Order: sequence, then C-alpha cells, then structure tokens
Amino acid sequence: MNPVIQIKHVTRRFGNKVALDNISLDVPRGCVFALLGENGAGKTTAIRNLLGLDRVSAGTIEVLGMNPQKHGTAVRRQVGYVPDTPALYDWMTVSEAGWFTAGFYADDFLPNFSRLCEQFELPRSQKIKTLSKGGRAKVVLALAMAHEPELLIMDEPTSGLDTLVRRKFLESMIDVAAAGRTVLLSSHQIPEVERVADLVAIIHEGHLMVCDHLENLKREIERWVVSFDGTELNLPPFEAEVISHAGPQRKRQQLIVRNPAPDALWRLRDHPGISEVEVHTPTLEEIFVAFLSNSPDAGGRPINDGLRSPADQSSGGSIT
Amino acid sequence: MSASSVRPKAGPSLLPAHPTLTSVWCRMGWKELRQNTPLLGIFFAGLLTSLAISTLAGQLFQVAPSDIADFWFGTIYVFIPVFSLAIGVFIFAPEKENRTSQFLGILPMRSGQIVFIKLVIGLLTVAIFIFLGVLLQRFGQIFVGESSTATIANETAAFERSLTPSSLFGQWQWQATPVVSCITLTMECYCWGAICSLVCKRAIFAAVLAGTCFALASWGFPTAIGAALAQRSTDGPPSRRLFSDSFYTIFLISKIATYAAMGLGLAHLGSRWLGHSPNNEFPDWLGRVAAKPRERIESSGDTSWGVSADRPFINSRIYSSLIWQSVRQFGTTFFFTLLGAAPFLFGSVLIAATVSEFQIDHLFVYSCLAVVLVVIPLIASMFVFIVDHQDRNYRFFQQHREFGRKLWLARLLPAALVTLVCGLLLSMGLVVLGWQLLTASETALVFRFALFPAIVVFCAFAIGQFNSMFLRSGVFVVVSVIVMSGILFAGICGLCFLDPTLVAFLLPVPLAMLAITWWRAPHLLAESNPMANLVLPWLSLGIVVVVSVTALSWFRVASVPQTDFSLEKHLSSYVALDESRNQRDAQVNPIFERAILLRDAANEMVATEAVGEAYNLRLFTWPTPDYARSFDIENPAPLRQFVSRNQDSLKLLALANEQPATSPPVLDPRSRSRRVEQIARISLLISAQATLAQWDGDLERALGYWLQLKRFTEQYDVESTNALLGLLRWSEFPGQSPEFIKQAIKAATITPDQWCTQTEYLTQSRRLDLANWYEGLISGQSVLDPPLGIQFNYGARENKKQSFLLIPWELERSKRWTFLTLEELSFQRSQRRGLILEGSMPDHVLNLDSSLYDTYQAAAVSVHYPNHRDYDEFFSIRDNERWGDFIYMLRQIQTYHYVRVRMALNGWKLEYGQYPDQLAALVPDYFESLPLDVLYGIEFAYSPTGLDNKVCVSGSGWKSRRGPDQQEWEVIKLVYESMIDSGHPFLLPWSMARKPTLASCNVMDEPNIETFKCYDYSGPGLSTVGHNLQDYELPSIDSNDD
Repeated sequence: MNPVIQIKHVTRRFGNKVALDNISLDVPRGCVFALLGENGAGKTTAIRNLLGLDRVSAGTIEVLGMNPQKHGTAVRRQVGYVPDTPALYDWMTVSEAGWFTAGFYADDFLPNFSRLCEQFELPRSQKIKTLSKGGRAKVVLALAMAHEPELLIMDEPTSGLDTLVRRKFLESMIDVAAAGRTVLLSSHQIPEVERVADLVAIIHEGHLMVCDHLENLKREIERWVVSFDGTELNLPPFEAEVISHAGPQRKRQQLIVRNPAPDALWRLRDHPGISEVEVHTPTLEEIFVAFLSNSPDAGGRPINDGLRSPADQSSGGSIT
Repeated sequence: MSASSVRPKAGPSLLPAHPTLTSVWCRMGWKELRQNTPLLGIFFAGLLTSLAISTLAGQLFQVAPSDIADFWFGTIYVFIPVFSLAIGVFIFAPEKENRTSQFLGILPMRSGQIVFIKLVIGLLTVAIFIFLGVLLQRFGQIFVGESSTATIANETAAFERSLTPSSLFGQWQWQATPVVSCITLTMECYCWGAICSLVCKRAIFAAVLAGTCFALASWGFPTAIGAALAQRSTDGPPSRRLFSDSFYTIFLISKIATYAAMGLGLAHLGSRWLGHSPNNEFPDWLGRVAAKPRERIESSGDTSWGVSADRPFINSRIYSSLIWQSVRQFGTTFFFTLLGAAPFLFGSVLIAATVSEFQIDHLFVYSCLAVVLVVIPLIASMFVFIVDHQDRNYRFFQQHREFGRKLWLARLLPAALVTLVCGLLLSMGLVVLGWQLLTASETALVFRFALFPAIVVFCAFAIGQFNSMFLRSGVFVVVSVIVMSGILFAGICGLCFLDPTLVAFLLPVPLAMLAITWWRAPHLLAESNPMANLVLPWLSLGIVVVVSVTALSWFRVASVPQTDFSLEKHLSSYVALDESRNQRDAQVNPIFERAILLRDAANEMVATEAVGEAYNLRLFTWPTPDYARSFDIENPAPLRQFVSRNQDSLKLLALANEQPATSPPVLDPRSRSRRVEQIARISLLISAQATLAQWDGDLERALGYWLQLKRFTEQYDVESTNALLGLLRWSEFPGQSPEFIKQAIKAATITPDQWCTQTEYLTQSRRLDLANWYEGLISGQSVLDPPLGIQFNYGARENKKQSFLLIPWELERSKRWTFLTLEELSFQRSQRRGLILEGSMPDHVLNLDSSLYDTYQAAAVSVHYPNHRDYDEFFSIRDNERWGDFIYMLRQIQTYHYVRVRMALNGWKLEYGQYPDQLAALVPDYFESLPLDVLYGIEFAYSPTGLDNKVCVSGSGWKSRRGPDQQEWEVIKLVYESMIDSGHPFLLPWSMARKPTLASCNVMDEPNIETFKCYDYSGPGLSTVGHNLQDYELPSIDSNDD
C-alpha cells in the first residue's frame, strides 16, 4: 500500500536559517501519526509544505500520490487541516461558516458538518466570536472533517483546550483512523499524543531525530537508573545506543538507552562500584526529552567508548 | 440534521448543492458583501447625515437651493473616491488583520481564483458609486434649480463654444469627459487600494496611506504629462490644452498603461497571496526586524520596571529600549510605506507645477494640508497605541509590569519628534515660498498666521494619539482621525478668520488630550474596568471642550459693547421708514402706491420661475434676430403662461389701480427670506403688468411700471436686471418717440437721495434680520440652531468663500458688530445727504484701496462726484457684507449708466435715422454730462457700426504672481463675445460691471488706452480679433511694450 505522505530529502531554508534539513519519512494509511518537536523545530513548516502553502528548497513531497506544490488544490480538496491558530470569520455564525465552506467542497459537506456539529454539541446559530476557545476549535475541526478527508492534518489542535475537550478531541482522532483515514497530529501534549498515536516522529531544529511506531520505541528504549556506592562514578563501557545520560559523576545516574546488547545490563550490574541498576519502560515524554536533551545544541556530550549516540544514526526512517 | 437546516438565512436560498463555480461565487459574494456592509453603512449614513445637515442649515440660514445642491455634489464627489479606496483596501486588509487569509488559503481553490472573485465582487460594489457619480455628472443639474441651471448653461455655453473640438472624436471626448473622469478616478482609487492592501505588511492604515498617494499620483501624472506634451502642440490659453486632441490621446494612452500595470500587479500579487501566507515561525526580513525590539527588551533582564524609591522614574536604559522598540516596530512600516509612496505623490505635484497649470505655492499649500490632516495624525496614532492593540502587545507589557506612563511617554517621544520636524518643514516651506494672499478665504488668512502650521500639527498629533487609545480597528482610526482633524482644522480656520489670538482658547483641548492619555494610559493598557476607561476620558475631554468654548464665547461677546437691537424697536423704525418712503413715492408716482397694495395680494401667490428665467439674460447684449424672436410680441409664450397662472393676482392689481390703498402694508418682518420672496413675486407681477401695458400701446404706463420695478428691487439681482432690460426693450418698442425717451432717461436717473434711501431701506431690513436672530421665538431659528456649530453662510452666493463655522455666541457677537456698523453707516449717510445736491451722482470711484482688506477686514473707498469737485466721499467698508453691498451699488450705477446710454442711442436713431458717431453727440440733448464708467471714470467703449468679430478688452489691476519680482501688473484679458449684428453699434462699459477681485485689486488704475492703439481698432481701448479664437494671441504687456 502506498504511503499517504512521502517525504524524501526535503530541505527548507529561510535565508540562512534551515527550517527542515534533509527530512525523509513515510506515513502509512490509516494511522495516527504524531509529529513532535519543540517550538520552532520545523513542524509547522513541514505541514505547510504538505498542504502546498510553501515551497521546499530541495527534495520531494507526495501527499496522497500528488505533489502538493503542483496540485495544491487537489491535495487540499482531500485533506483536512486544523491550524494552530484557528482563523475564522468572527462575524459568521457556526452554520454560516459551514455553509460558506461547503461551497468549495462536494455536496455531502453540509450534512456531514451538521452531524459533526451535533456530535461536538456546537450551537449552530451562535456567532463564532462569542464561542469559547474550545468551541472555536470544535468548529475548525468540524470544518476540517466535514468533507471526510483522506488525510487530516492537525497543527497543535488541543492547545488551550480544557482536559475534557482535549480528551474528546483526541478520541475522535482514533475514530478517524479506525475508519481507514490518516491523521497527522502535531502537538505539545505528549501524554495525550501517547494515548492515540500509532507512529511518532521527533523533529529538533529541522532534523528528524526519530520516526518509528510508538510500540517499537517503547520496546526498544529503556530507562536505566544506575546507583553507585563507591568513589568511582564513571560508567563502564557497554554495548547500547545511549540517547541521553543524566547526572554524570553523581551517585545516581539515569540513562535512556536504545537497543542494548543482551549482556549490557549484566555488565553494568557486575561492575564494581555500581550497587544497583533499575530498569524502567520510559514514557513518550521521557523519550522526547531524551532525544532533545542529547542533541549537540542541547548540551549533550558523547559518553564512553563503545556507546552509540543517536547522532550516529542517519536522520531519516521508513516505517511501513 | 438535514442540509437545509444548516443553511443560514443570510445566504441565498437557491444555491446548487455541488461545488460548482457558481456556488463558490455565491458564497464568496455573500461573504464579501456582508464584510463590506459596515463600510457601505458608514458611506450612506455619512452621506445622508451631511446632506441632512446641509439642508437644515440651508433652510435655517436661507441659503439658496443651488448652493445647498453644490454642497451635496461636493460631498458626494469626495465620498465616492474615498470610499472606493476603502472598498479596495477592505478586500484584503481585514483578511490580513484577522488572519482569515489562512482560512481562505487552505480551501481547495487557487489563490488567483479567490482574488479574482473578490476583486469582481468589490468592483460590483464600487459600481454603485460609479453609477451614482455618473448619474450626478449627467443629471445633477436638476437638483440645482432651473434658474441656476439656466445661469450655468449660459455661462458654460460660451466656454463650450470656444473650447469644444471640431472633430467628431473631439465632440465625443467633450461629452464623455465627465463620465470618463468619474469612472477612471473611482476605478483607480479602488485598484490602488486593493494593490496596496495586498502589498502592505501592516494593517489598513498603511494601505490607506499608500493607496491614497498612488491614486493621487496615477491621477495626476497622466494629466500633468498630457498637459505638458499637449502644450507643445497646442497654442492658446493653458486651459485649452486640457481639452485638446493631443492631450486626450496622451491621457488615454497613459490611462491604458496605468490600468495595464495595475492589472498585471493585481494578477501577480493575487496569485501569490494565499499561496505564500506568512510563516510566523520563520518570518521574512521585515518580520524579523519587527521582532528584534521585543527580543532586546526581553534580553535586557530587567523585568520589573515599576517606579520605586530605588528605581527612579527616569531610567534611560528603559526608555532607550522602549523608544527603540517603538521606532523599529512601527516606524519601519511607516517609513517604507511613505518612502515608497511619497515620491509618486510629490513627483506628480512637481510635474504639475512645471507645466504651469497650477501655481506651485497653491500645490504646496494643498500638499501641506494633506500632510497635516492625514499623515501627522496617522503618525501619532501609529506610534502610540494602535499597533499595540492590533498585535496584542499589551499582554507582553503587562507581564513585564511595564504598562503605564513610561510606555506612553516612550511612544510619544518619537512621534512628537517626527511631528515637530513635519511642522517645522511646513512652516519653513511657507516662509521660503513667500506665501502671499491669493484670495480672501479663511485659508489664506490662516496661512498668514505664522504659527498656524505648528498649532494644527500639534492638535492633529494630539487627536491621533488620543484616538488610538480607544479604537482597535485600523480603518476606524483612519476615518475618525481624518474627520476629527478636519473639524479641528475648520475650527482653527474659523477662529483665525475672526482673530488669530483666539486659537489660544482652543489649545487646552489638545493639551487635555495629552493629559488624559497620561492619566488613563496605565488603566487602558492594564485593561482594567473597560467602561471607566472609555467613559472617563471622553467625559473629561467633553468638559474641557465645553469650558474652552464657553470661555472663548464669553471673551468674544464681552468685547463688544451691548446694543439694544430688540425687534420692537427696529420694527417700528422700519415701519416708519417704509411709510415715509411710500408717502414720498406715492406723490411721485401713484403706481407705486398700487404696487404696495399688491404686496399682500401676491403674498401667497405661487411664483413661477419661467419669466425670471426667460429674462435672465445677459444685460450687455444687443438685440439679435434670435433674441428678438424669443421675445417677439407675437409670441410671448412665457408671459402668457405667467399671466394665465396668476390671473387672480392681476385682477387684484387692477382692483388696486382703481382703489388706492389707505394704509401701506409692511413687508413681512419675520423673515428675510419671506421678504425677498415677496419682492420677487411682486416684481414678477409688475414686470408682467408693464409688458401688458406695452401690448396695450400705453408706453407711459409701461415706463412707470418699469421704473417702479427698478425702485422696488433692493439689490442687484434678477429682478433688477429684468427691470433694466424692460427699460431697454421699452425704448426699442414700436411707436416710441425721441421725446418720450428723453423723459424716460431723465426719470431713470437715480439720485443720490434715492440711492441713499434705497440703501437705508436695505439697512433697515438688515436690522430686522438682526432683531430676528435676537428674538428667537418669532422665527424659531435660534431654537433650531445646532448646539455646537452652524454654518454661517448668509450671503451664500456672493460670499461663499467667507463661510466659516460659528458658535451661537459668535453669532451674538456678529450681530452686535454688524448692528454697530449699520448704525455708523447710517450716521455717515445722514450727514452726507445734506451735502449732496440733487442730480449729482457719483460718476466713478476715485480710489478703491483694498490692500489692507485682509488685515483689517476693511477697505477704504473714495467716490468722486462730478458736480462737487471739492468733495470726495470717503467711507470704509468694514466687513464682507458691506463690501458686497458696495459692489452692488457700483453695479447698479454702472448698469444705470449703460442702460441710459443705450436708451439715448435708441432715441438718437429714432430722431436721425442712424446712431451717432460719438457718444459725446448725446450731450446736451439727452444728457447734461455723459455717463462714465463707474470704476475707471472714462467713457464707454463705443463703435457705431458694430463689430463683426470678437473683442478683447484689456485693462489693468490683476497682479501677476509669476513675475520675477511678483510686482508685475498683468493685463486683464476679457474676451467680450457678444451676439452683435453688424447693423448694431457696439457699446461696452470698461469695467463690465464686474466685481473687482479683492486680493488682486489694489488701486484701480485706469486702462492704458495707448497700449491698444497698435491693434486694429475702431474705437479707444478696443482691439478686434478674428472669428476663430484659436488664431488669436491675447495681448500681453511684453508684446505691447514692443
């Protein structure tokens, strides 16, 4: 099955600043794809390129088999987009906004919008300027979903929403994915994303740090807490990809490692001076922080010989 | 839920279900119209309000309907391009401000298509304006009134005859000019507004500013270039170049090029608009520049800038950061906007000046006005708060606890600096150009006041920063600031017209604006208690305004001595004067007695304009076959119509002839307009009766009517002209005899006594008007006076330029001064009357010195009496109304002289079968001394055999402003183009009974007759020209000197 989104070696520069640096990834159909990164990492730039609202400096992008830069109108007809700052005509009522937008889509837009309004409990006769932030977000979501797009792209859709609304919002993403459509989700709410995402990609300063199934990440990545009881506080060499290392030269140090060798944990435990090594399964947030904190710009440092750092990897991945 | 239940009521009901192009058009059309509804509402509300106010003011102050209509047209003509520009700006700017362009950008439609739809829908809206403008251009005259239309038609007919191109294409251009100009100007404003709103990064006001500049430039450039190039291929006066074929060709080519450029620009920008919406994460260079100030403040580390003991209020580091931020953030946009647009604006001004179509000081002054009224307030509003509103910078400053007076001050300082520089530049420009008075208008008076630019700039600046506190929409800031600045400018003009020092009373208002923003700025920026933040500043400002205006009014009124001008007192004197005059006139001619009785009969009569219009012809024309046909006694259609409509009143007139009145009635004391209308109706009746008497062959009775008609009318106007024309026609009537004409000439001689009495009659009428103003209950006018300001436009047609805003107190003061002036003049005349003997008319004006008129609002006049060589009457004219009265008197005398000479020529021809060779032959049979030109004191120009061609009459008195020393006197170039048959003599007063222009006429020099002897001439001071005016080069001083 062809991927819904195919990005190959995409680079986008703004003057001297590189917003996207040789990014490559594929997004399969029927999943919830989470695009994570700190502010200014390049998430919005990537999304704008997917919609054909921007032009890449190098590389190619295909969305639903089409080049959005050449066929932006056709792409947008099959894609729903929820921007980070919802821009609506404040003077319109909810139903007027739906009626106005329906003119640009197929004739099933209006019934679907009506159904979604009922589902989201939106007051259709109310002006948009009188709606709460959550209400506006719901309107934007309903407008983005009413034409039943193959791909739903959401850029920070839950920011500013309360817990209940946010939870309901994200649950609807699962329903969309269950219906065989694809959701690309960009968010800071990592615990929430963790609940719904099938695949996760982390971007940091234009670089793709990781792109994998969430369950794979959780299976491959472990959090080790190493306790020392002697004066020697250096870790011995061990065979693992160390993503982050917190508290070096301290009696209690934390490691986020990926794909450790089968005997790596035992070698640590057997090392003199180490009293205990606790093994935990990290949360997505811990993985996210680990990837970001170990980047060269974040003050990370290479650890002992034999350690593998994420920087050794090529910035790209392919998950099918 | 079905689709129909979701569809809003506001949208069209018959819409296709499929996403066809039609459905997109319908929805976009609905959205655009809905979005533009407030703007259209403002347009029509403003239009209706201004029309209603002008109509009400016109009714209150008895302004002629044609003048009100002129104001309507002016208002509409200003509104149409302005709102077309606003519509153009409104297509894109709100989408940018509200970021709804993002919403449009993700819709499955190309950017170019959406832009095209928006432009077309905006164009349909503008089409309403265009339709309105074209309608007014073509049919607007019907609102002006029939008589005014006839006047305008008469005035423009000769102009059109001389200027209309002969070719068919030229004829089409001539007819299409107003319509094409209306459409092109409106379209250009619209297109430039759209383009600038697409280009301008920041909000509406920058787009409005740039759009205005470019629209003016694209309107002015083709005109200026076309005129400049046409000058090389067209001879004749400058105005002719604007109507030449070459100008039209160049103009059209320029317009086509302009529209092609605008179309390409819109297509290019529109295709990129939504496809490349701004990226907030990675802004372009301008966005990065704008973001730097905030980064600098954030990186300064001092986030607790509140005033405390250890943190003095004056903290240079804080201020340097804040000022730098405001300059970079706001000034960058403004700087680039002005940098891009200003060269086009001022370039067009310079080019226009170089082609000498306009004088450069005029252009400079109008440019200064534009800068003062638009740019300065916008600078102030931009620098102070409006961008903070739009960018929600409040929150940033609130977080940093820096939202108070320091921020206000930091915003104010750079704005004040820019304003100060602009004010200095304006003042320096005025000084360098040596601005001198061109007209007596208030603008010229104001600009003589050296501090005027600085004061107006300061006030506009205060208004801008005050408004920016409350208004969060760019378009409302622009509109409100311009409107308030305009009102303020008018107020300052009015005050300077009265007394420049009175501006000091106005200064508390802008100072209060600054103080109020100082006071309320922390609360406004803190967004605490929004109602108090809105009410308290405006309430405080209102109190300051009321106190200032009250103090000003009290000062003005108290400076004039109290005068008793109650209605009762002056009504009694009026009645007494009227009675005495009636009794005296009744002894002279019993017909007047009957006419007095007729006044009441005519009071309710519906006067028709037909007769007045038919008679409203140029006095200084000789009968032509066409003219004679129109007034052929066998075909007196207008009079028959008039008589049939007023048969009952004529019967009353006949009744009055048989039964003389026992008590003379008084003209309506309640209203000047009623008196004027009564006089007009009675005049029409008398003239009709005189004509009927001529039909009956009773020439003596007809003469009596004509003389009484002239005596009855109090001013030089249509009725007076009708009476003189009647006298002329009477002298040419079949069955006339020389003896009878001699008697008529003697009877038509106005005596100084009559002149003074007539003037006094007018003076009494003015007194009644003053009393009317005072006794508000009688007329109700004072009750209806607007509370804040009224348009004082009493003598509307002649004194249009003297209109200015007055408050009711000012009216009170004006009444007192006028009353005192009237009293003084009455005293002068009563003293003078005893010195003047019967029959000694002032034959001409010796000295008419109005050089100090604009300074002291007075002119010194000396009048020479032929029978009293040792006595020259001297009196001063203090105000504009008195000046106008004096000019009326001169015109009356001039007209009397002319008519009497014409009658004498007719009598001479009856007696000898031909016209005399010289006018001197009329003495002593017809005159004791020959009537002279009233302004120059020389004989009329006369040629017994007539002139086949057009005549150029030259005189002196116009002061040229283009000479190297600006002291050069320029020959007056009056082209006399009358309808004269070769069989008629040519007779023309030198001064043409024209009103001398105040500012351009100092000492009245006699025309230099020697100057014109070199021309082919059949009499003194005349030069004949060819049939075709294009072939004739008007004489100039240089050529004469050669």
